[in-house]
Amino acid sequence: MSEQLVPVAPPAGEVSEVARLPELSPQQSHQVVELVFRFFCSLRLTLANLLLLFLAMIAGTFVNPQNDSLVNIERAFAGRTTLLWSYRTFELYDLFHSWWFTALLLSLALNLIACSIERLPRIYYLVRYPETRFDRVVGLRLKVTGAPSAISADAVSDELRRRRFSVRRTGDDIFAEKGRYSRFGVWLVHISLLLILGGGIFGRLTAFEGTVNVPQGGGQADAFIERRPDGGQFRHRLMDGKGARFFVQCDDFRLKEFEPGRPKAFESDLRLFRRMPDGSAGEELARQTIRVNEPLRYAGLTFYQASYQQLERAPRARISVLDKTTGTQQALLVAPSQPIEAADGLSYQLVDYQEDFAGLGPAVQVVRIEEPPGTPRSTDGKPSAAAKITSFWVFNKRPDFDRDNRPDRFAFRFDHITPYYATGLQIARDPSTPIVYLGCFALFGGIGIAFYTSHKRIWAHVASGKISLGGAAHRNLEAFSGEFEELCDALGVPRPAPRKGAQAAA
Amino acid sequence: MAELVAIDREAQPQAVRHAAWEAPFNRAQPFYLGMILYVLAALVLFASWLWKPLPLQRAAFGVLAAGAVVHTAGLAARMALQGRPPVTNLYSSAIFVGWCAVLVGIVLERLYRRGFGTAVAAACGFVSLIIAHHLTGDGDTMEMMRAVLDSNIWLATHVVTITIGYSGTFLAGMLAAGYALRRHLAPRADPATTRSLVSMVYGVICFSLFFSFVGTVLGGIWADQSWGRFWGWDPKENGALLIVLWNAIILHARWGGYVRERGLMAMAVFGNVVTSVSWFGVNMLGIGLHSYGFMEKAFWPLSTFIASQLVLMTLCLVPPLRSHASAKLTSARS
Repeated sequence: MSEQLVPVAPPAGEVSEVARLPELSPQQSHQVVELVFRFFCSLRLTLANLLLLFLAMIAGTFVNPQNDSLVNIERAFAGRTTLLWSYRTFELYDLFHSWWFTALLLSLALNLIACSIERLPRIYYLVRYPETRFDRVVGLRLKVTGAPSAISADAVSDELRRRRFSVRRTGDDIFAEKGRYSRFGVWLVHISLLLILGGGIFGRLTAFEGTVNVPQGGGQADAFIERRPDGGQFRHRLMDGKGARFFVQCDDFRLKEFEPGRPKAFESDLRLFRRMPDGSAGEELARQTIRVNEPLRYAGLTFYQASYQQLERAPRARISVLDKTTGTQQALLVAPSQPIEAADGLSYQLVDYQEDFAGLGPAVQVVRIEEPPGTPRSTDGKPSAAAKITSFWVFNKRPDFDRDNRPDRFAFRFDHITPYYATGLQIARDPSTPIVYLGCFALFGGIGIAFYTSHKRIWAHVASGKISLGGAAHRNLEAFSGEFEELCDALGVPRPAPRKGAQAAA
Repeated sequence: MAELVAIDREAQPQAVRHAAWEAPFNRAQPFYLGMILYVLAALVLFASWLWKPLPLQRAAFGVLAAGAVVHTAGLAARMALQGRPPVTNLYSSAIFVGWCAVLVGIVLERLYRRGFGTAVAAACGFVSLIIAHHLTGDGDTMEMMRAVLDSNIWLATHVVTITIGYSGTFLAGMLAAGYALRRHLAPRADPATTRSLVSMVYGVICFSLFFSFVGTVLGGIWADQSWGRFWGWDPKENGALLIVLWNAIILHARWGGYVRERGLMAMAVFGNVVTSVSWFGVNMLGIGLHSYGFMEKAFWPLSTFIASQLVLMTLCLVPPLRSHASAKLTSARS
């Protein structure tokens, strides 16, 4: 037995055989392209793609339905290496953005592109250069041949025109058609699906969403947090298209409930301000009350009312303070014991609340603290020994009582007690939406044309007292056969004999 | 008491007027009556297959139409009382799905006149009203809306369109189920009827593909308007897209000639499974932004339903159970 010696390394100057593709003649390379193209424009691939997409979507709905991040999954499945390996490799924690799901979508897109390339010229030639002679058309299901008739070719043409066909005559041959655009319905469907898929892929690269909680009563935020499915967090600063920064301020938040614990509606008064380079607030950019289904949009960002959160266990009081010297009134939402700095050396604090104060309804007790002029600001918030401290009650049902009865520069009104909330905003950006919208609306039209219209053609040959008539529709032949029979009746031609076992055309 | 009513009347005149109508509506039980009429229509039609086909078939159609009228009246009354589009919760979606299926079934019957449209429409109407009956829960079917759903424009467009899509898919599935039973119970079935059944199923699938797709897109637009994103792979969104995909798969398989009569029917039956899962299954998961009708109770009924559909799919595919020879004989003779 002889052993053949095989060189371990390729001879100098040559690349390894494994890495080198076989050299192809022009003809062969054409065949390869052809094969690849055939593969991508086959209906079999379409079906396989759709089925895989269907299965993947079922998997995506039931695997990780709570959208747990990878970090949490690793914690939950600690020690189960195979499971964790598959979670990481196939990105099951975020299946819809995994590499293989994207590959599936890409394959579907290639499939669509190949199909469109293959179909469009064919459709175009079919429509542009139709077979106009009756005797050259084969396989007609609706056909009457050689029926004796005295009708002239002109009369047949007129009858067809009356039925809104566009008619061409070459000698004794008449060719009439209508609904040519119907052939392009499928093509429109494919193009619009491509737009949607393309928009989706563009969106994957550019869209993001995150959340931020902003306390009511003037809370501000200039960034929001995006939680990535792999457990990472990303902080986005609020900025417009030109990179100028701004911030969102929640002036007020209101919750309406059917009954405690069943929210009916909630809304926030938002304002957007420019953030100046020194950190101060600049001009007001936008102002809107947002609700569920009514977001604020600014600079491509959508501020959506997503949730709310009670910040402090103690409720706050909604009051307004009138400065009698200037006549200005200020609405405030204050916590118990929170100092209200009204003027230099003069401050107030809410210290008590009674649901029904001696039969006079809801009321709050306010403490007035007046420091003698020149007292330095206390560091611990406590009044100094020299401070003059008085207290009074403010009644909800008697709004002018405090103004009229208490000699002071500032007069108080008390509206009601309310929990202190932060509004939960979801902030999102998706620049791909217009493309997707365009695709969707084109698709509506495409499906409508593709399903509910058809390209109808009639061939006729009129000569020496005989007429032959044939008809075809590329969709819904059953409906067209009725139309064809009517045409036969109108021309005085016998109806075509019903063919046995004729399949209802799809 | 009288004083209280007077105060109410002054504050919310419309609500009081509605309340005056709500009690007779509840007493009349239009959906219960509709249910009875649908059963009756089905029974008359079954009788027609055994005895005196033509007059009984017409009578069955009449009873079905009466049921549809009652069903429509009930639906319209609900809309007037609530001042909302027809679908506001799981209960009303069941009523609406049945209503659409009945209407499309009536159209099919007018087109094909084989009694099959009547049978399937009656079955759809009955089943959906039964389901609705079991969804009533604590009895209040006109409860307040969740904040996220409180938008009449989108309820009227997206929810209604997508529900029509559900209903079309169910109707196709029911037609196919009828085909499966007929194959085994009546082996001498007339091939022309079989052909029209196939084209009915095909047409209804096209119809439901269109509506479920438009509905899904409208849902995306709603999501974009209110949440700032068109698509988020939320379970309910996936459910809607799964119905679209499944219908598209059926059509492509048929266009490519990969399935014929039996395959088409089996796939149409599977459409029932897809639709029921995305209709109820997502709510049972209780996850995602859309799970507004959480219910655990439905797990076993849903599983039973899915199992029954799998049996029907098998019945579509296997050779007829009843003596095949006699069928062959008749077809040879004709």
